[in-house]
Amino acid sequence: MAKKDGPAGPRLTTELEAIEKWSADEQDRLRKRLSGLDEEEGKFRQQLALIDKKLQENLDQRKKVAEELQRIPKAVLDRQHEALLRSVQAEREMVAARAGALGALQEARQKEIQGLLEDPANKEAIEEYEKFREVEPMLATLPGGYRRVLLDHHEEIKKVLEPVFAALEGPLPKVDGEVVEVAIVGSIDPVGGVPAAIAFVFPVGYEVCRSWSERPEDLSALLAYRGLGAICGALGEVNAADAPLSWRESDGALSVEILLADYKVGPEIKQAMEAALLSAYARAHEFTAARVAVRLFWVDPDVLVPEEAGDGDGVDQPLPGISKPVQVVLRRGGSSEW
Amino acid sequence: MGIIEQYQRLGVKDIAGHLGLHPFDVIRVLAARGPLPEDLAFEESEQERIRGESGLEVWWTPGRRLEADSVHARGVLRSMVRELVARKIVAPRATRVDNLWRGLEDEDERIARRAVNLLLQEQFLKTVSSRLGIMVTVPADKVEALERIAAGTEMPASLAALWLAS
Repeated sequence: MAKKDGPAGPRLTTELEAIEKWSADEQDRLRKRLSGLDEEEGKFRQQLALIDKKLQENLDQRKKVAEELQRIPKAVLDRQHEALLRSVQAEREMVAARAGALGALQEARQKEIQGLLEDPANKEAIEEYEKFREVEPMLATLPGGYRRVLLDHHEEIKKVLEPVFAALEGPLPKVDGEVVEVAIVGSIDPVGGVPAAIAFVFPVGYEVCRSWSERPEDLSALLAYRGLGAICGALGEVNAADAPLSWRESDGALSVEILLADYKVGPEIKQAMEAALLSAYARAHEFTAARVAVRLFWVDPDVLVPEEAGDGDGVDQPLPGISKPVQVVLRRGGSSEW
Repeated sequence: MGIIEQYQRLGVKDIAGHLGLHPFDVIRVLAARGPLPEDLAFEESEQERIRGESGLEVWWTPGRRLEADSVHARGVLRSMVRELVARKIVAPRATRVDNLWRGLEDEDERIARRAVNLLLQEQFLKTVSSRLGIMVTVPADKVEALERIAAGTEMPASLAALWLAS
């Protein structure tokens, strides 16, 4: 504002000057304040950027953890599968060890019997015993006196041969050591709540099947025989005796698979299998002698055959009119185990 | 049972070896009777019983000749098909799959196994599952085609893989 001369001049001037000073001061103060606020805003923005970055990092990490969490069930199955493989392997070795021990006892028993059969004192008695068996059906035609003499003599021969019969018919000697428990691992694959397939992995190497003619018929082979016999029996009990049954190698072990898709089999199959398998081993003399107890352990199908470990059955086109086990055989270029 | 018989009892492996079966096939025959015995040792006479119960047949007895053919594998295939037709293995009648090659020389057996695979894939044969194992049968509508294959008057190109691959 322009200054004006006159009496009112100094006062107004003073006031105007005061106003100008106030204005300058206020502007200065407010600019400083603005500057301070700008500075704070900058700081806040830096903090925000940091928080935003941390938030993003948190989101990324959360995503990873959530993915890890989702992978847990699969990891559990993988770990269970690995544990199963280790267990089957360890139990295969246990069975093989007991097979060796039992084999040694059986061999000793055979030598003992051989010795008894070759003993001249027994040889003559054995010859008489065998001859008696030939003429036994004709005894009834003989007069009573003759028959009595022959039967008495036969009893004497039997007494002489008692050690031979004891060796031939007596129970197998038991191996030294504690009873060891081994498991057959079973798994039922249901479709729509109904058993569609069953698989069993035995604690024996697949060589009992593949190389049967080149190896002894030892405890491992008998474990497979007994198991297979029990499975067939159980299938018969649930009216599925004709169900396709195949055997194959599963990580070095023997696996038996049954397809039930075309059979009306309910959950009772599980009980039937358990009963048949446990009874089969309980009544087998060789398992009593070897002190091996066989039990059955059920697992989820994914534990037995993890997805990526499958043999690609689901990938190949099914061959029309050919059952699944045969298709597997065909894809492998045929098999000696048909 | 006599003493010597008892001493010389056979194992499952012995029976399988004598009959030309896999031991597991012997077990399936035994299991069809009921629970397996407490001792898996058998009298010699058991062998013949198992032979009868298993449906085992020897198609290729010594001296039985294969079809003369300028291509050996084709001759094996034609011979096997000839036997299938001659023995009237037509649905619903079926035979053990291993009957098709039992008695053949090792190399011919390998050819026969591959031939069975091809016949299955081309649906000239069908599998039938049974308590004794895998059986095969000829679908009724394939009999005439198989007769022509056996006679050598017709050979589907798909079956030629048998000798072209080897």
